[in-house]
Amino acid sequence: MDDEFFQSLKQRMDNSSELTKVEFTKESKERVLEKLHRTNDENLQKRNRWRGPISFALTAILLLGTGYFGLGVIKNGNQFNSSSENNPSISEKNDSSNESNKEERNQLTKKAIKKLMMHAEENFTTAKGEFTYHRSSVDLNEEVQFKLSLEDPFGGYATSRSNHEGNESSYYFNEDYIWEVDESDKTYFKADNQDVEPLLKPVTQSIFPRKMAIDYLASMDLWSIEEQNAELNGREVFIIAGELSDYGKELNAADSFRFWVDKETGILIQYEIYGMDGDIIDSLYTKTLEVDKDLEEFDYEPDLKGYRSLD
Amino acid sequence: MDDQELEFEEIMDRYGTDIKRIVYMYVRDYSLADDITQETFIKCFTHYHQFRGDSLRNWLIQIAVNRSKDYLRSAYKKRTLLGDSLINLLKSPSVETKVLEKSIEDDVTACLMNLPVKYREIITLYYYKELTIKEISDTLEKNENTIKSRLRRAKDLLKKEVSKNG
Repeated sequence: MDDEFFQSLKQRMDNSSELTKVEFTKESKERVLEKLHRTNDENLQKRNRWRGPISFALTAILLLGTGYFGLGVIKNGNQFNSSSENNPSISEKNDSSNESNKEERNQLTKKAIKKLMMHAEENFTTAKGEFTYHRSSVDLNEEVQFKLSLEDPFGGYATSRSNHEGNESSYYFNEDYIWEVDESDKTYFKADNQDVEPLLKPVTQSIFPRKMAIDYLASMDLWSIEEQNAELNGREVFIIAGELSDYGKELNAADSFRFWVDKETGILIQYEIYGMDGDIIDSLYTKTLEVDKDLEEFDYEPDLKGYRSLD
Repeated sequence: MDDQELEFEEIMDRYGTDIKRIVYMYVRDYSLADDITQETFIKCFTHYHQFRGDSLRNWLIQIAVNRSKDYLRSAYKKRTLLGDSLINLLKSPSVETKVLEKSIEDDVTACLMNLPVKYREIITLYYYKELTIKEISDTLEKNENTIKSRLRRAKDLLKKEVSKNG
């Protein structure tokens, strides 16, 4: 079937009734040109709307500027006189505009941190490490080790050991499938990898913290950057902290949080979620993390001999 | 019509159907494919003065692929909110489509349409649109080895699908 089938594939597809119905018609082309016209007209109108006022403003600035310097020369015999000591109103204006510039820059950096966390998978190709995870509501302590690669060959695994009856689980993913393996029960669950995002259950909240960013950083006013240049586990981090929204507090039965975000990748190296009384109710502490190092060959598929499928 | 408009019209004449068929392979809806194709050309023409590449066709394909995937991502989110059953109801084929006489060509296309998007797109770009591995790698922003292994897998899956349907 091979060669001949694929050599003639294009022709077969072109002749199929499903695709012969797909034509880009004259009406569609006209709609494109019409839309371009409209966009160009709108842009032209915007430019013309501002042309008059801008040229008036420029003229005014020129005249005022000339007058200001002229007066300065007459008054002090100096060519330039812009000292803030002599012009307190300018100094105050400078201070408050400095504050608002700082606030703007801070907002930009907050946006940048959130974006970094949402797209962490774009900032590294391999990762390997271990961390501990704790959730007090269910008295869960978990130790997780993981290794993954986002370049060819694409895949990874993680093992998780919890204090719940010594439960041990493994998680694997490759290009095509995800496996969840219960090592204690010798059972497993296998699903198609939908290729939406790389998924490796126990490490997702740290290595791909998109959901943490969405859930906790939604309201920009409720959190701030505590430190821009801290260090943790040999890596440079931002420390950010804030309060959950009213809805978030109810949903998560939590009050506030602190995140340690890796500056290079957006990985959430550490986090603490606090209850109403300030106690830590949910936390993740990284013990080791290596990023973009060569990984020795490892198996992206579990050996499931003797395991029962739960599908 | 000025010179630039004439040029744009010529580009749409040359590539319009080509691009729309690529989009259709992603979204599997005629009207949606038309909307996304229009958006593709609008984006292309709006940034036309910035284009410095070798192949206008490949640039158009890249825009079309990205737009199609953006749609699929947002449709995926809607699916989780609305539930699969409602989405399927909204998109169920018309009676007319169902009773269409099927040819071998239709069967092959239908088999291809049954593959997951990431395999469907590779077959479409390589065999149907005849892009090279390098061009596909640039378009999808994945390295060439990934493209090659994905293409091998896609061919296997398509062969299995075609055999299954006789």
